[in-house]
Amino acid sequence: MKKTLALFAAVALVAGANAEDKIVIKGSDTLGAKMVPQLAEAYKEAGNEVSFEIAAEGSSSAFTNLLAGTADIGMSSRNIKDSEVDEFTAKGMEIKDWIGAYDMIGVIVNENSSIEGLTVEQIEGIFTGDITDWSEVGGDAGPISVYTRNTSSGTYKSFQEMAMNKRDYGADTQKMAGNEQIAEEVAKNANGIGYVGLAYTDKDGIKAVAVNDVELKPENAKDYPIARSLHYYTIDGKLSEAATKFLTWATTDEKAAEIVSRVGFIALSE
Amino acid sequence: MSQTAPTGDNKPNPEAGSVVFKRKGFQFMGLGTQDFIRFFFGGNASLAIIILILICVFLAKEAFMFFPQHHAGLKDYRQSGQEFVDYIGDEIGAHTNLYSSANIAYFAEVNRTSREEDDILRAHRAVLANLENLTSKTWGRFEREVDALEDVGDDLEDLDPAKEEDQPKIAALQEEKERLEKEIVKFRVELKEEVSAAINTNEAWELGVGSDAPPPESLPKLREAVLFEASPEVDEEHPYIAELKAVSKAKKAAAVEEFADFKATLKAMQDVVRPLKSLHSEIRSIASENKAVLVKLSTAADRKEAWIKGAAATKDPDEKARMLAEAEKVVIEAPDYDAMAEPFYEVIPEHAALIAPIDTEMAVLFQQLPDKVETRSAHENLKRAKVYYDRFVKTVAENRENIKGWSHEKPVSAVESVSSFLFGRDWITNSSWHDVYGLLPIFTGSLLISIIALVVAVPFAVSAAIYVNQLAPLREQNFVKPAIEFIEAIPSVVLGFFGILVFGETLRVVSQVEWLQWVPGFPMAERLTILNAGLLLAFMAIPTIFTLTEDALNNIPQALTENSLAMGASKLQTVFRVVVPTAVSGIIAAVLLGFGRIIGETMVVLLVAGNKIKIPDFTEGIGVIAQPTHTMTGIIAQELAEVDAGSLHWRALFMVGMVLFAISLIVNFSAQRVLKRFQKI
Amino acid sequence: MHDQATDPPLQKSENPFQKKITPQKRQDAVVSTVLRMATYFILICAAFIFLDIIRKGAPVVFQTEFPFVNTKFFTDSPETLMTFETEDGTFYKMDFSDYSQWKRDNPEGRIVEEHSHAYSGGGIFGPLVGTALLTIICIIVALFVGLTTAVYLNEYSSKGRFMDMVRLAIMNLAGVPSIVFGLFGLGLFCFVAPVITGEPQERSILNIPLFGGNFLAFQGWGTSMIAGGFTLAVMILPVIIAACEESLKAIPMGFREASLALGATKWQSISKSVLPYAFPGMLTASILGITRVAGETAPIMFTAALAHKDKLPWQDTDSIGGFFSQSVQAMPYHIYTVAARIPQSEYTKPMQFGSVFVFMVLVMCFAALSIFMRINYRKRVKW
Repeated sequence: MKKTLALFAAVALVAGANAEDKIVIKGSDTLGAKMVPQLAEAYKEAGNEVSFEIAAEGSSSAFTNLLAGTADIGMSSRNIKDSEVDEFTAKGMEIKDWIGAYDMIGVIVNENSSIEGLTVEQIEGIFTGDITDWSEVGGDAGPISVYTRNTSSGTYKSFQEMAMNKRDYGADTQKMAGNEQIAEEVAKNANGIGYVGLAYTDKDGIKAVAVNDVELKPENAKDYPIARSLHYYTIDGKLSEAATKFLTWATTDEKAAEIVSRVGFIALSE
Repeated sequence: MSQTAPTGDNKPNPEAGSVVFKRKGFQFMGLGTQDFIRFFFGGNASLAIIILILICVFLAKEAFMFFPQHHAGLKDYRQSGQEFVDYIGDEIGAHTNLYSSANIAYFAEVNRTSREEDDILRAHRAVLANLENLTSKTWGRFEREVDALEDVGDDLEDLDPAKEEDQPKIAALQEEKERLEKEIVKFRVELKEEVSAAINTNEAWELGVGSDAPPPESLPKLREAVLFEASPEVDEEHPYIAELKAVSKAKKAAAVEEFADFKATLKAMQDVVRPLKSLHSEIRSIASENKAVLVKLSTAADRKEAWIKGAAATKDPDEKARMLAEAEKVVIEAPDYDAMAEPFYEVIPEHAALIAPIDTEMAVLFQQLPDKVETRSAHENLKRAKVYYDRFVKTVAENRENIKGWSHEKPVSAVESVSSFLFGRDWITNSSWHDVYGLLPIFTGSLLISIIALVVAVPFAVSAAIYVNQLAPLREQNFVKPAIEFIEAIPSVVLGFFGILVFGETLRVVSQVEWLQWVPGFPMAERLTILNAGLLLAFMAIPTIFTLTEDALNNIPQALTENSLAMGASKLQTVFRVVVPTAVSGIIAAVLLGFGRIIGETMVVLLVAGNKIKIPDFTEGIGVIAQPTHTMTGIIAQELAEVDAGSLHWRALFMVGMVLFAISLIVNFSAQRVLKRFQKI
Repeated sequence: MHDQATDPPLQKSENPFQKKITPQKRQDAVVSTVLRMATYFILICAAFIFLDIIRKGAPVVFQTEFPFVNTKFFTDSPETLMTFETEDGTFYKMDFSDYSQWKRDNPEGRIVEEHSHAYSGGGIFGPLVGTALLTIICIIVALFVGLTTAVYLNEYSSKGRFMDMVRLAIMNLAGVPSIVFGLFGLGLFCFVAPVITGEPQERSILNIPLFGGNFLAFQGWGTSMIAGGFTLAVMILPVIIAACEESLKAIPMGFREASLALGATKWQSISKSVLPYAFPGMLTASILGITRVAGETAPIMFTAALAHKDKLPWQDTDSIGGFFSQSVQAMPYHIYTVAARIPQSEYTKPMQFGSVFVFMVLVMCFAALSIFMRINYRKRVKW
């Protein structure tokens, strides 16, 4: 028993010793799969001595990790919910929002589909399960296979708010782990439909449909009905200097903007 | 696992009390070294046992806390009026399903007339897209040159030929322009060649899953049209395609004429429910607001405290004042529940007035739907519409009672909070409306996958075990046994990876094969399905079942087989009439343990099962295996990372873990019981 | 029996010992062939999976020139892969660090058609190290606790209903799904386990003041290497206990009795006459444990693993505590990331299949070793 105690004591040494220059970023898959790793790499390339840890499980995990103190920066592809703000204030923390980029959610179908455009109402019908066949929206007959992100995803939530009138997804929808999985499935399923961030629409086998007759192009960002901003969240007053410097760089520097548009988002300056 | 032969008495402990043999040595509080060693081991053993007990206690604690929280959630659901709104939502949902099926039937009929043209047009799109992919690199370069040429042209326009200092620039740009023009001509030729080469490949003619091939006589023309449109100079439609489009359009227009009555019925169906829909959305937003108030209330006390604490900690007076003001703003008082529910009681008569005519009119309209249709799809959808109509009528009838009896004050019973989890048919999380945690969809998913895996794995594993143990020559035994055991070591994530990147697509391609169409569920539209996951898990379960079955066969007393052989039975007769029947309980235990392994497997199902949270549609019979599903293990892996520790969602996932835990204990325990009976023989 | 009755009488010219093909024998042969085919079908499936992964993965790892192994794949950590084309149509594919270098070297090179593929460049050193560390922590903890428990259960404890129940419970826990252990590990090690710290965090559920202003705070170890290692250890504990006890049981009673009769103490007889002979069995058990642990994804998903970490564990910290409290990349989680969470293209394939190939070969080596050792052990040890 003595030894076991000693063992526990040794383990207990693990006193939150975070090295000063480490930045832990957690949250959205939309930001974390492509944009943030590359920003991090470029930031180090620019001569900054920091190290990064990135985990991208979905926007909700940004807030749970910030709340638990296991992340410095939370990435989120949706606005923080009121109830989440409440949780932070309940623990005496205030949250700070940094906008990192703008994104348009593309509604994608198989490239062989005859559908070129949909209205928001039709999209709502399809994703809530009211419309189940392509013929109902003017396509060739065939049962619609709907692919959505998993529930932790910010895209899941913002799509629900922007395109589905806040209604719940139909039970027939398939939940996919990442944007890419959706694109992959839609590319291989002639009757598939899904949504992905703008950065992921440039892939063989899929095409983005126009929504309310507005095409999915960066220059249409203002008119496109399903567009949103991408955020970094931090705890006010608790952010390390290195992390602050990185965020400032990521949201203002020209190089960063170049990377943001390279991965297919719209940089703040544009 | 099974050969735990009894080991005699392992306690030959000589009494060390006698004075003669007393040895001097380390002594502390009357305890010797030996005692300390014993305590050391005993302590570790109890530690291990404590850890294992801790697992159960901890899981149980986290999991069973789910029910009180769930109970509170259900109470909010009722008090906010969301329950009431969902009653009406159900009516609309049933109506929408009915309308949608009828609508599909209508379009199936309309599109039937132009089917041939549509097939060709679809193929046309597919081939064009394929060609574009195949030649995308050259295309990209070509387009860049064209852009560059345009840029040069623009630059030239900006310059003034009259100005002296611009002359050299103009000359340079002219040169560049000529070069680019030449390049472009070159690229055009190159592209043309590439396209005409690409069109001869098989990839170009891949039409995508589930689309019908165009009639063969149209192929030469189609090819010509594609070649024409894919060439870089042309930016217009080939006349053949334009003609097809026109014909298709005309035929559809004619069909629309023909089915005008059908369309009118559909439109009437939609119109009749419109007032109900607007009523629904009205009270829906009221309920949403109510819910927000209730949710805010749940954190109010903590927030207030945090602000006050923060104010006490800060030194800056302005900040302090701000925080205190924020604290002031937090309202902790419970809202007036009666006032919140008032609007819902008020709409009851309005609803009754609305639903009665809808009910009667729908009965009339439903009768007006055509009963004779030509396409199979229309026929099936009308059949489905009938089912939905019955459901609609039933919902409306039930709701008369539900709505009349609804009261926001009716207490939620404890049974309700348990049964709505165990038998709930929906799992909706992160909802803007109301989160629902029902086990049935993920439970049936897990079960279905496991059953398929077992159905596939058991015959193979058991036959292999019988073969290896009873029939194979020794040398073969020594090779096959380790080889199969080896499979067990394949990490599950590797199998999942294989399933998602290789096997899924293979399976789908196989399912398109003509002569396999008798298999239920074929052709499959999805890559990630119950079948895919089931087959991979079967592969994982085979070594477990094989090893344990082999063990069981091994434990059959030699005398039995020898007796049988001596009586003149053939080897196979001995195996099937003596060995296998004797070992049957061992085999059952093996299958049970294999089941335990399959149902607890995570990575394969997370990657491959398709993650659709819905009770599979069993109306398709065995064809259900072509559908995607979600599983208990998969949902934990997918959702746990995103939830707050201690939230209702977190506890729901622990509860799912608890169910898994219970299943595995039951399976293991019964396997051991079965084995015990076997050992008695 | 009845076969003989219906057989035609022997013809004189025939050899009486000649094998006869009776219908029964024909049936035997058919059934036996069917069983054999089922057996080999399993092996063919396995071979297909292996060969497919080897075919696609081996080219990533091996190369035709010296040193024949793609060392970069083993010494770099995952990073972004860049593919781009310059204006003159030359196509480049390089890791992000090389890409930045290239850009510095060719400032005027105009890049067109640029694509990036996250996690698809570099190598797999980080995940390999992470998996190794997790496995080592897990095996040390599990063997220490498991071995001593087995010794107690088999050598010291008295026989009785209680001990039988304990054994039964341990056996049963061996079958609990790994994800359930992941749940438990997350709840206990990441959120509740005790830590000595000067400033307990908000989430700590109990703070016990210690000397020097420190607290023993029950705030959990967070998502960390040690939480993952312990979770894995708890997961294989039942397996290790059962296996160690099995190998202790296999030692004949006579060994202990002889030792005790010669006047050895209990501990002397255990340490000199029992443990050395049980050692090979325990070694096999621990290697089996390694095989199982290294391949597990579900328990470390929430407790230890990270998708991206650009420093190796020892570069990132200045204290032992810090070393163990950091998250790590791990092979299985890395495979999960590249298989399901990143954009797929032909450029991501090398990383995907390369990782899977290396990982599979590693795990398989351990598995082969344990199978080989067990067979060898069974052959050698005959009391």
